[in-house]
Amino acid sequence: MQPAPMFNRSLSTTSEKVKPANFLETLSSAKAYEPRTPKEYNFFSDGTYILEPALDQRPLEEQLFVALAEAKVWTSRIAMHLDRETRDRLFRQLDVLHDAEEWGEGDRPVALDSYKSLVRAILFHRINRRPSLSLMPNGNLLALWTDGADYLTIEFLSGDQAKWLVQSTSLDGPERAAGTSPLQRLREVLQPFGTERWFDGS
Amino acid sequence: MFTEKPIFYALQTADATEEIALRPASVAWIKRAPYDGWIGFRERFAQELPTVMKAISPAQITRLGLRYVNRIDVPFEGGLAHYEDYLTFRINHGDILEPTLAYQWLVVKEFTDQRLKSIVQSAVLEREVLGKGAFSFDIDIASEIEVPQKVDDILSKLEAMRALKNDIFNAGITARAKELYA
Repeated sequence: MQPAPMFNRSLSTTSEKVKPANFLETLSSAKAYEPRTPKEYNFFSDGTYILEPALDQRPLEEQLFVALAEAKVWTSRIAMHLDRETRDRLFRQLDVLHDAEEWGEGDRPVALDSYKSLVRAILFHRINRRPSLSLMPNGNLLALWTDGADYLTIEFLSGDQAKWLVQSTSLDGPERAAGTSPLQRLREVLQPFGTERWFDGS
Repeated sequence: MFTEKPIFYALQTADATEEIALRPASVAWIKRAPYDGWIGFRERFAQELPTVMKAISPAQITRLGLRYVNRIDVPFEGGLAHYEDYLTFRINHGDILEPTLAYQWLVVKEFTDQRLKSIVQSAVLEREVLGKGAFSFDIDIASEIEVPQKVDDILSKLEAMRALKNDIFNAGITARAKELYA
């Protein structure tokens, strides 16, 4: 058994000889129980590495490709919880948002932590009504739901947080509210503005 | 600013679910979730295998590996993730270490009659789904003795490796875990 607040793997338990699965190791069926030395990767017999520019200094197309690949590979980790239609739609939206021909100077590709928050919210709240997505200059994803003049926007932040803005119209007129909440609380905090309308399409 | 990067080439599909990774001394086919089953995966790499064999000739294959990295997400119950309800293979450390912060184990066994080796490991993973903990059940089957060198022999060996993987998988998880894969 493990207590929930302390579930993440502790560094102190990580033996040099034991390597749990991570992204790189899923790439190959190389020996799992022996730590890999850099030499195994090297192409040159003298043990030298290739040096290449940091990601933000590489060509735009490469930056966009890497950001998309990271998001899609991460999605594969939770794919068993995500139906294919939702996954395919998310990928299509990400592809459109990262069209190099439409890319503005200074824009940043999607922040993986923001994308994770979006997907986690979809799964946790079983959001059926899919939003439009846009990319903030800082790489965060902004989801938009509209219903006539009413709308809900949620910026998905790192650390499983969400910044939301909602406008809902009643007989007394339009009402706006905004806030920042943990992902788990979204349905509850938006309840006064009709969560079902935005998340469930009802 | 520069970063050090190990050399390998990876070609992947647009949705990143299929990938081939080429390194100086190895080639790997990767299929990520969602999975389409063994037959489709086998057909995919069987199609490319003759090309690879031709490219590496006259070098000999020294290791053939088949690795399944299973991720199991389990709901928290009463604030705890009861991984013992999902894995029959686990560390029997007694009550003194309960509840654990994390665990990690690895078992290596040679199946001499089959000329195969298994490397099985499990560890707590980073949480990715709200309200659920996660652990891995990672089964790596390797052929390092009398490694087949011909396409048909390789495919045949892989079938035997997959059968061994299935035996270990089915022995290692509980009925409750099997429900997750149903």
